[in-house]
Amino acid sequence: MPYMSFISQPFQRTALLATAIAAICLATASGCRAPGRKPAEILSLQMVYRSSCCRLCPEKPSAVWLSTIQQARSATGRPISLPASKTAGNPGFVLICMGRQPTGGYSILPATSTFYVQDGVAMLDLIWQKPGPNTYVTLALTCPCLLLALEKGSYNTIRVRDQNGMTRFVIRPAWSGRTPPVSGKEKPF
Amino acid sequence: MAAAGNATDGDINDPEADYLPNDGFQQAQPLSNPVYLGGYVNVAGSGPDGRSKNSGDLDDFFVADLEGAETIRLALPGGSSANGAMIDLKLFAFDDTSAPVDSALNITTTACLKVGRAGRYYLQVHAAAGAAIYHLIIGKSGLTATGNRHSEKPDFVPGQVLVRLKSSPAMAKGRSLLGTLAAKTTEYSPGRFLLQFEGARQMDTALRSLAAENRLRIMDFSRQAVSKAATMELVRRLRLNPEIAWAEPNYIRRALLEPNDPYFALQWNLDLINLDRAWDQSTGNPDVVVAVIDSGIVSSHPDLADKIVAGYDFISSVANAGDGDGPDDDPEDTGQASPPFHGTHVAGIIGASFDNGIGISGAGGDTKIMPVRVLGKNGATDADLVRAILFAAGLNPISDGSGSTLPARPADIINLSLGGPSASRALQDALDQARAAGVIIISASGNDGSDAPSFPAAANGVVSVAGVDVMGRQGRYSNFGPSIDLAAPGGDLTTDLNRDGYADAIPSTLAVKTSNAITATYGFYEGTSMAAAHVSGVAALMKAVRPSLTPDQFDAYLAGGTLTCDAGSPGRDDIYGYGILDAARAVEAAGSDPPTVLLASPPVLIMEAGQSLATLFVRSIGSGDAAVDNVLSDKSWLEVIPDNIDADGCGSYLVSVDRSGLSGGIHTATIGFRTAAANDPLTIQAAVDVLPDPAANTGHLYLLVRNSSDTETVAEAELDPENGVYNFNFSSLAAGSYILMAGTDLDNDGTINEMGEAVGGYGSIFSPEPIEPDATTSNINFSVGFNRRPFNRLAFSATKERHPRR
Repeated sequence: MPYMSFISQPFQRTALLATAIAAICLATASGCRAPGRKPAEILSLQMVYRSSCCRLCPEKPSAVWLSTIQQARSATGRPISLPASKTAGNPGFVLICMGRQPTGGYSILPATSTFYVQDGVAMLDLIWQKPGPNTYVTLALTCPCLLLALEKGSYNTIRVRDQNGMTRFVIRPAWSGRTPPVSGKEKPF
Repeated sequence: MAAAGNATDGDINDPEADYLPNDGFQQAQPLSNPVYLGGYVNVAGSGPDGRSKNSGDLDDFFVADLEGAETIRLALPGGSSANGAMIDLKLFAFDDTSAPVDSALNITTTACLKVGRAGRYYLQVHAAAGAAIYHLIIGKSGLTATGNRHSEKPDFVPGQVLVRLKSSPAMAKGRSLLGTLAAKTTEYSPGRFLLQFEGARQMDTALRSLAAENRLRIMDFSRQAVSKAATMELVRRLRLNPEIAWAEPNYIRRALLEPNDPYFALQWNLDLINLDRAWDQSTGNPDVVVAVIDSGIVSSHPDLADKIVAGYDFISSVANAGDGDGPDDDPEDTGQASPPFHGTHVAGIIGASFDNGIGISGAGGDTKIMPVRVLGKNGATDADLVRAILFAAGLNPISDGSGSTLPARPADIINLSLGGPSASRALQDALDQARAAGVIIISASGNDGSDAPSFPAAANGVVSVAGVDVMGRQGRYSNFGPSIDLAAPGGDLTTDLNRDGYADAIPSTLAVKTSNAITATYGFYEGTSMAAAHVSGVAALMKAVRPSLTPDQFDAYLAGGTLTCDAGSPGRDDIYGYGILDAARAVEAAGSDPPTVLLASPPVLIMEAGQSLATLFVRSIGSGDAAVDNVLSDKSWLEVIPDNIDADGCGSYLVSVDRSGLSGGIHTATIGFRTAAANDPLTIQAAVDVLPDPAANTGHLYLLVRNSSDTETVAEAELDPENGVYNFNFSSLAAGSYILMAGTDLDNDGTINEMGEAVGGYGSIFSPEPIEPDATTSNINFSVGFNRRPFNRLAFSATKERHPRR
């Protein structure tokens, strides 16, 4: 399946792709690797900044690729400093905004400290948190965000998923030479 | 049909509308009472192109017969035309137009005047700057058995103005400005001046120096009146000057109090609720304690350190607490909650140190704050919250192994800027106990922008507070519904409508957490959390004036309309409750003994077209005998029947209306509940819409027919009313499904149904009902009015299009 069609209709095709991969894995019984496909590349990520109120984020949930630390500082309005371990690697950054939420208790966290790349697509797993059903929360509006530094690798597409496996955003890093990254479509909580 | 009681300014900017100028006393446009009027004024050159863009429409004059208990409210509903606009509203006695009996100047959001005596009055709406659509509402506020107290603006000394220059090292520009005014100038305090003008000529020179157009020459004033009116004109012009922090007439016997806190100038929220005038009456009392049940407080914050009394941390889960332990006597705000340091922000709104030359001013003045921590990084549990409420009320001893602990002094007020979707018996029980112990409980109504109840705000015995923005409009996030009691500033982070360079959210104390330390700072949050805190601070001022103030008495003041400036529909409504908090009125009201009253819910009964049955709830407040011994209606077409009442006649009553035989319009009736204790019976006004109202007029309308599938406009008509009815006929529509919507374009910007315009739709504008007309379809009726709730205007706004009229 051409990836362009995935990108144009990410949500309808995501389930099919996941199912296809699972089916291939089961069929080959040789791990999650179809015959002739490169093995998944495991890369590191690091949380650089996180806040419950990133005022420069838009009202709607969004995700954007940022190529430099300067862009990250501009996008967050914060004096971001990169952890020393990532400086030499010259990472890229992804800023994920949850959009405006009516109360406290919403947050985004990285699920792991690594992500894998398969066939040019980086899979980024997050924990997308909302308040518990019977919890009292603050009644101030929040706008949570998460800034991640990603090790560069052989990916030209980043798929951001939540803990339920649902794709929240699809992003194109700037080095792919394609059109600027697009905001994702929100999936309901 | 035009909504009953609606009217339109006779000379709006839309060139298609009828033109009836109302530019002076002699041309004053008659108004009915009550009335909801939409109008437009502009300074020449301001606003969209149209009839008055170039020449200006500075003044609209109206005349009305008033009964003496009305609230007159002027609101700028917002939208692009309100940016930069300032309006003056003046009330003149019909037989003496030399000077207004009351006025509100430089209105940018909303203001209200109260009418003290029955009579005929002129109302003047004047464009001080810019261009704006405005709403002028005349109607009665909620009633108590003793009616309302009227507070008139104090008199002032003609020819004297008090001015403060904006802070700068030398204030050179400001001093130079004052030097050009040719007045005797006395600096009574650093940067604060008394200007004294010897007569009309000196005043005239000053006005010219400020490049003011001297409107006074158009009107016929006596020499004395020229000086008073000229004084107000000078005040207005000074306020517009960038070197001036504030300017006022020299009110007689008015205390001069403005705190020296440097961020006070950013606290538009305090100005919106008239706190400066409240502080003239009371700056609070350190014996009054407000418990902030929240995420704790940063006790080292310089603007809070001197205001904190001992509290407690009730978070029972160590993981949730984030401070390494469970419940203890350390309610320090660790920044774990979301948003961080929420409790510190709320506490600052209520009680940040006042006039200490640091940061902001807390609404409650000298009141003390009790931090009670329940909110951790995962919110709060019912059990923790219940214990916190009981502790704050001085009811529940804490056994921590070292003995029982109660607060040294129980709180007088509890602020709950938190919420959850579910009611619970444990919570209601705790609230009941706290209220019975005399604690006034204030809570935020929620930020879902819905009528879904949020608890504890929707619980019995809790004052539920909605949020408004810098324009006094309902906050886009604010919940609404029958549990809303009043509204207060909640702010909006996405706008800067007051052009102070900062977001229009609520500034307050905050902190920043780094790896090693928590550093005090200030910042902006928005939400009903912030709104509730304003009410708690003002309640603390009331408690300082009346130490015996009880929750029932607070409710009585509220229901009597004495704590608020009415907003939305006259009387109580589901958006603003009894109105927007007015601290000055609240503190003044607390100075009078509260009566033994019967309270009704709703306090004003409005039965819209098609509604024939309503329920009225009556309860008594106070120590006297308020048993109901008689219920009467003064109209034969309105009947009141007990539904479920107790031995004292309190409970629910059914109100039924028989519209047959009633002509079109608003019909009012008075329902009286007589008791032994009250000097006057509790009277409830019932307003019944009977359509069509031949006098109703929402002006020139644009009616659009839109495809229900894609909302594309397929036909349009322009209509003018005949006896309150707008007749239309579309004879060439293709078969299909359509929605009908209509609205005005007062400012002629080409967009109908935007904020401030009259609006209506078949079904409702918020839930339009599609129709599939055929050749026989007729009698499609709906009403259009200015007093429609401002929802979904973005979804249904439209541009006027020149489609073939069918």
